[in-house]
Amino acid sequence: MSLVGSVYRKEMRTYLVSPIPYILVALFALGVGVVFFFGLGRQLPAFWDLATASLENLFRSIPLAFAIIVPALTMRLWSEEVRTGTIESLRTMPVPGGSLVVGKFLSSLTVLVACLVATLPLAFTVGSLGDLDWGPVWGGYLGAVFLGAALLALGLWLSALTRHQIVAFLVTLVAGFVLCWILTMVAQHNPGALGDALSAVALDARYESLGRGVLELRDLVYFATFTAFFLYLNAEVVANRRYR
Amino acid sequence: MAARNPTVLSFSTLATFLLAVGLVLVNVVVSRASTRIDLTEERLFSIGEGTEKILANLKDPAKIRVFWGGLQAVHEPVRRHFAALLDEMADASDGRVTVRWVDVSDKAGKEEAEAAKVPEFEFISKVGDEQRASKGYCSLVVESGAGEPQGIHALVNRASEFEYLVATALVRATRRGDKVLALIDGSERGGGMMGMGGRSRFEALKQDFKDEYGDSVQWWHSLDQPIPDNVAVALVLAPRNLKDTQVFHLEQFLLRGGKAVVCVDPLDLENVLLKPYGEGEPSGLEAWLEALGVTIGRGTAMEGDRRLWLLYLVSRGPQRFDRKKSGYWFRVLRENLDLSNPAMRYVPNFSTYWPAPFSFDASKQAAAGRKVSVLASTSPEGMRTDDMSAVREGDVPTGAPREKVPLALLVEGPADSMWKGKPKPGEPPPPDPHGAPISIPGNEPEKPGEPARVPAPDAPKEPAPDAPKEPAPKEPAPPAEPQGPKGPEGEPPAPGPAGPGDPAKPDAPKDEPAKAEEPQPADAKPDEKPADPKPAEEKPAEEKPAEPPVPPSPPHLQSGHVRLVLVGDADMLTDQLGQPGSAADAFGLGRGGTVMVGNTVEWLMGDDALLSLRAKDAKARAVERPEAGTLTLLQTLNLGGIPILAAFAGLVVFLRRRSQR
Repeated sequence: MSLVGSVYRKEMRTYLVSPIPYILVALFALGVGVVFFFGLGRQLPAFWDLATASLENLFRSIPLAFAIIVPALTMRLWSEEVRTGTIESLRTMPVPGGSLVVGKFLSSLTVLVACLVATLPLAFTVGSLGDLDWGPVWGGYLGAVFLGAALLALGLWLSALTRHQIVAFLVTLVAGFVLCWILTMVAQHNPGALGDALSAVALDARYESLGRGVLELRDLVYFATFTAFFLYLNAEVVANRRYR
Repeated sequence: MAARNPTVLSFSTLATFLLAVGLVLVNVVVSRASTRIDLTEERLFSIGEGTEKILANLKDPAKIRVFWGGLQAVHEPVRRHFAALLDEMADASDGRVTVRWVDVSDKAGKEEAEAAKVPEFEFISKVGDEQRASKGYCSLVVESGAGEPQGIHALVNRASEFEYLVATALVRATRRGDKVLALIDGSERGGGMMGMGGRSRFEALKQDFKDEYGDSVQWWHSLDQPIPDNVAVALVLAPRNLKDTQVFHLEQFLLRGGKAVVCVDPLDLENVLLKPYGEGEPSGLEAWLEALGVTIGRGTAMEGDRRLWLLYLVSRGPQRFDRKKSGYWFRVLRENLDLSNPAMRYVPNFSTYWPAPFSFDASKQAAAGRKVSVLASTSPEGMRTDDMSAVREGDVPTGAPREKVPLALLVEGPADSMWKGKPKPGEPPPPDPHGAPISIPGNEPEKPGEPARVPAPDAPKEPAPDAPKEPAPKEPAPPAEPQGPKGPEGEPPAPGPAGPGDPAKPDAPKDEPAKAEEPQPADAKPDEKPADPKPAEEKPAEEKPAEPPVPPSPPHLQSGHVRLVLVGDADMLTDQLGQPGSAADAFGLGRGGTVMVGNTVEWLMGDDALLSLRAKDAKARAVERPEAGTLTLLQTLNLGGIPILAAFAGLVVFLRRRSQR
């Protein structure tokens, strides 16, 4: 664990001296706030139109927001190491690949949690305007952490597969959109076994009940196994690939 | 990039494959579990224990078809809420309940909706400052066995009751036997109370019960006829000046094993705020209850704990009311309910309006072998008053002794008929000299041809003092006929005839012949029509309707075992104060009273599984759109505050890094 902690601290120092995480937090809070107050099409009505003391709209916008912001967070985590050649030095150090992966994962998750914390003023505003049920709010945030963790694990793995940040960003972006939007859309137009299968895989469908304040064991297990699987893949890639 | 050692890679690939398979298996296994934590305050997304019991006890498989489509975006959360609950019901039913969402966007779906008699609704929703109209479907149909399909419509307007509606539809679709619930409404009057035009004050409550019990609900406006034997529970609402005959019918029903919930209502909106005399009206049950050892206090109960006071209406002229907090309208806390009683277990705090105070002597009840339980009471700061002078202004008298005043009682145990060893009311005394007619002050039995004291609520109304006197028209009222909607679906049956005057007005003339008050069902079925308590030969020949022979009256029971719930208020059940969207909502009074009485009826009917469901009601969490200036400020702070702070921090970091280079 101390090795993970060392990697985590090193990564956090890198984050804190870079303006990128701050910009990401600002953009995330602004984007989610705009969607919350002004809506985004029929599926995400504006808060004032719903006129209900609920953050459900905020949580429904989070999968798409994460699909955009996570690639920006993860794109440089491995590809930068590959590009600068530090990946080979890291592998010569007595640090297991798993510790490297988990340390990087936790640091990026911390930034993602900071993004979520930046949306808390919305919750307090709604709470001051009406009788907000805080149970679903905390449930929604917990679910968002699970969802973010899954996307981060995927993004980290994809970042480890390439030396180019922009490629890592684009591939993760596409994967995020597929998992958080397109699969569900396809499932809605294909009722039956195919639709059920796609819904079972789609991250936004899994997140839906969490965003409403219902913590379902199957959804939490899905997110946990999804995250664990891609972290494992990431560790395998870091351990077994030779970067030139 | 290039692969390393091929052996290591193949081992790694195999391990990855096995891990993937293992994780998929874990997910498949866990997906069968329905373990969940519902963090919502009202547990909105979980079915209740009652629903689980209902689903576990379904005798036949049930099929639920949901017709949904064409609605607005604001209805999407409602749809997801319904979908989650229906999925959970299907899971909990162990395969007995299947749910299918019908796509009504295409022709086949519309045809299916038409075949299922599912209507298309027009919705008007407020989106921002504008009203938007749309047409769409939001109904479901529950089918089970060979029974009639049970349709539930306009679901978007009934989101908070969804689980209850579906559960009761399942119960109704699979219910076996004919347990009949009789609703006896003493509130229907002539004149026009609060714009009601003589309609019952309990139309919405009646519709609630019809939704739940379907045709097993029968609706009367009086107790003029004996309550039929197939009635399991009678709910008597706001009885007024009942005659001995009517009291006798209720008593005999109880002695025969029937159960009753009687909501007395001596003081209501009409006789406190809208009528000049401002006095209460007795139910007519007082003497009979005295014989049972229970006293309905004169006047009203009050709450001395100011924290429980509610906003009270003080009449300042026609349709003009001031509001002030008063102890005549108050909240009854859950802690003052008998939570050991199943009917009370799920009742939230409720509001009550000039409730009648009860009292009883527990030792005398015990000596008689009866048990009287206090189901609901005021706080220990409660009071009683007989002084009606201050009621209209809402000023609570000071100095009255403080006590927990019983507001609802359960009376159980053996009881003798008040007419034990005596002729039943309306019957001539037998030749036996020991059977002399009873004489209870103010409650004498009526004799044929004697003037009636007060007409039954659904009897032809007596003319008001300023109206020309003429014989009251003889209108048929169907006491034993199931009361299905007579008009468009959902419309209540036509209320009883509304006379020109107020029948309950104390100074109303009382010279109508008693027989004119006996409603004669024109179309009653022979096996359902109770016997006419008056001898046929007493009626004028020209008033005799052509109808089938009347079955004999039930025997006069001298004693039996009673089970009776007395509630001191019926205002809390009215359309004005006890229903969603009523004035009660505007005052934030809640609907706990409806839950209490509804649950009591269900408990007595033996439908315990439904008890926990009625109280499950989503809180209205409306947000008022603030003034334009406030709205702009809020949005600016939220959209600008954190992003600007974060961006500023990023800028500082960037500048520091640049200066360090």
